[in-house]
Amino acid sequence: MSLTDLLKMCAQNLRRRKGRTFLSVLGVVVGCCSIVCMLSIGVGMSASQEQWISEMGDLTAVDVYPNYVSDTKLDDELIAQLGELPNVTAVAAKLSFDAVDFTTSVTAGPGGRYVSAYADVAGYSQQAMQSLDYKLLEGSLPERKGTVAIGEAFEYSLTDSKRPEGRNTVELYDPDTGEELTGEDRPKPFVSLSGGKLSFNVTDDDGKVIYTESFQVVGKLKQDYNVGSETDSGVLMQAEDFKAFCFNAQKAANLKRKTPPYSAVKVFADEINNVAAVEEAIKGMGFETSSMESMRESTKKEMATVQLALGGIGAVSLLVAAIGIMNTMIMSVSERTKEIGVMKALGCGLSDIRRLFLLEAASIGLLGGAVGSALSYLISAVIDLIYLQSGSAGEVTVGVIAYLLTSPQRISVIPLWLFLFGLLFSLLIGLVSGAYPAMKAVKISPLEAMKNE
Amino acid sequence: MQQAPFVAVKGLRKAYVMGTEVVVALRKIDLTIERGEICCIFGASGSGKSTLLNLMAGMEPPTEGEVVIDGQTITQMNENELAAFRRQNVGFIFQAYNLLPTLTAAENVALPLAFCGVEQKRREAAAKSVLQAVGLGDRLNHYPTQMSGGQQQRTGIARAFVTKPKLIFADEPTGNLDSKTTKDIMDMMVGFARRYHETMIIVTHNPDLAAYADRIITLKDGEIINDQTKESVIV
Repeated sequence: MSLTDLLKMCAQNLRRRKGRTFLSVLGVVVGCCSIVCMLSIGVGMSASQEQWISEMGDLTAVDVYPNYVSDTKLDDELIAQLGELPNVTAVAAKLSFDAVDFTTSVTAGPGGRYVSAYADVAGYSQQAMQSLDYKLLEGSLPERKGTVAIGEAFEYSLTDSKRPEGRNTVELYDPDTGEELTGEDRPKPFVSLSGGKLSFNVTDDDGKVIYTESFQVVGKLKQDYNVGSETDSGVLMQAEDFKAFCFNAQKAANLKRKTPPYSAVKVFADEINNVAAVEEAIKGMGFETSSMESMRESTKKEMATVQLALGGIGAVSLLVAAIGIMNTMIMSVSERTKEIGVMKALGCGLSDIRRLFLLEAASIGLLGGAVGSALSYLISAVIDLIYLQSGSAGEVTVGVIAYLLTSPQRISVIPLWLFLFGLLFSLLIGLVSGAYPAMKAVKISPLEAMKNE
Repeated sequence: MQQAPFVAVKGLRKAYVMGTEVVVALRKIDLTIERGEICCIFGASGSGKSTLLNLMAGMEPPTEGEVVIDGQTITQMNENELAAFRRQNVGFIFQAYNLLPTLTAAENVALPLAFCGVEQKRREAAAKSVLQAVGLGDRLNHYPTQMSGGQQQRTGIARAFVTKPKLIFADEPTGNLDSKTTKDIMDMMVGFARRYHETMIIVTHNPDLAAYADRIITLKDGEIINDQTKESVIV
């Protein structure tokens, strides 16, 4: 028999026993909803975990450290090698004053009135700045020579040399509570450097300025310690500028000219799943590494366990539904014994009989799966609303609901794969439950057609 | 050279085990039926006539012996081969009509063609023309429950003839009908068989039906006790 004929017959038979079909489908709907919703909670939890980890730092970034045992160095040769590794998209090597033999202070304002004795300066190549994902509060990154971007709180690190000791800094912390003052409460710094200039001064052992160079401030960075401390009270400049400044300073201080070593190296993998491989390769080169990967790995395992437990709970109700389908189909087979006998007497092939009953069971599964998966979206939305509303008591409006349902804090998330999984799994359950009844149907003798009662 | 008979039954024996007892339904049947013959297997209930029909149609295996139809030894076939054989060569007319309740008259008649894989349009056309031939041209879309017994059996006859089988089995075809309808049905059935030169085997305990046959084989206690052809039949 052709598939269309089988489908037609299957539909006729299911329609003939409307009530029973409806109840079997309902069982699958409940089972499918329960497994999909349970798994959706697992998915939602995984997603917020991932979000949480990514907030702690770039998930594709790998920090590279020298291995002091094998005496490796963070130099240009290494940077070139790292850039060649498979799955590496970018390498960010940081230059800083940590490893130079001269002292540098920073001054700003008319006559160098505002001073910072220490300069937290980061020098990065143009390409590295892009991959480090700096956020700007204003202006731009130092894209041209002779420009810098300052950290969000850099202006507060300057002291006013014209004021007496004790009152020469702007206090950012509440003297009573010790809490950082933010927003409206935050006092203004003595000087705003927007569009202004900064001078870097190299001093000798006696404190005399032996070399000075000034830079144009073109932007202000948003504070983000995942990117680097320069975003807070430091300064960001181009690697080329940094090196040129060092060479000039070394010359003025009568030091040997040498390229300053990198103080930190970050490598970016093309995607999260390749981070482990990249780390492995770098370790193979004799360096130490660290990334969010190990943490992610362990939470992933934890989540898999949770997912399995939730899925297991959901699966129980689908199992009950499967038994329901089997029961319906067995009853249907025994009710239709005579009919099956007649079909066989008329020459219906065994495979057609089997397919007919499998098709009926699979239809119940698929129907239940379709309704169940669709209904799960509704249930999932209700779960989210209850979960997210529990924190804040307020009027529920369409706007609030829409906001909550797109919030990354949702606890129940149904991605497309889960929807399809619900559908296909229900279909499979139907097929499996139909296997035994179909086998029973196949075994019915054509002699049943001859019996007269 | 003598032509092989259309149906050849050789040394057929059937015994059932009922609990601890062995019931012998057919003792030892040898029988040949020629092509185009209308043959009646006649006997009282328990004579083994239904068992003989079941074995000849390949619906159950014999304990001993073989059945050869049109050169094919059906007693050696497996279930799938038997289904295919019935589909291609055999038509059935049942006492209880056995129409599928979910299908209309036309769909019921077309069903054996569907088993053969005939496409829907040709199937419907064939079913319609056979139903018109049995006088049910206006009942195509009626369900079995909406038809009288006679109409249902005419649908059954249409279903048996729609595949143009070589052999038709009729098991008490009028057992559930009144005498007036019985006559109509028998005239139609036998008329069709003669017109298309088809072999028909009718199983009955009703002597009125036996009168329609060319040959009457009488069974008693699982044995053939009488085998008469038309000329010698006394009605």
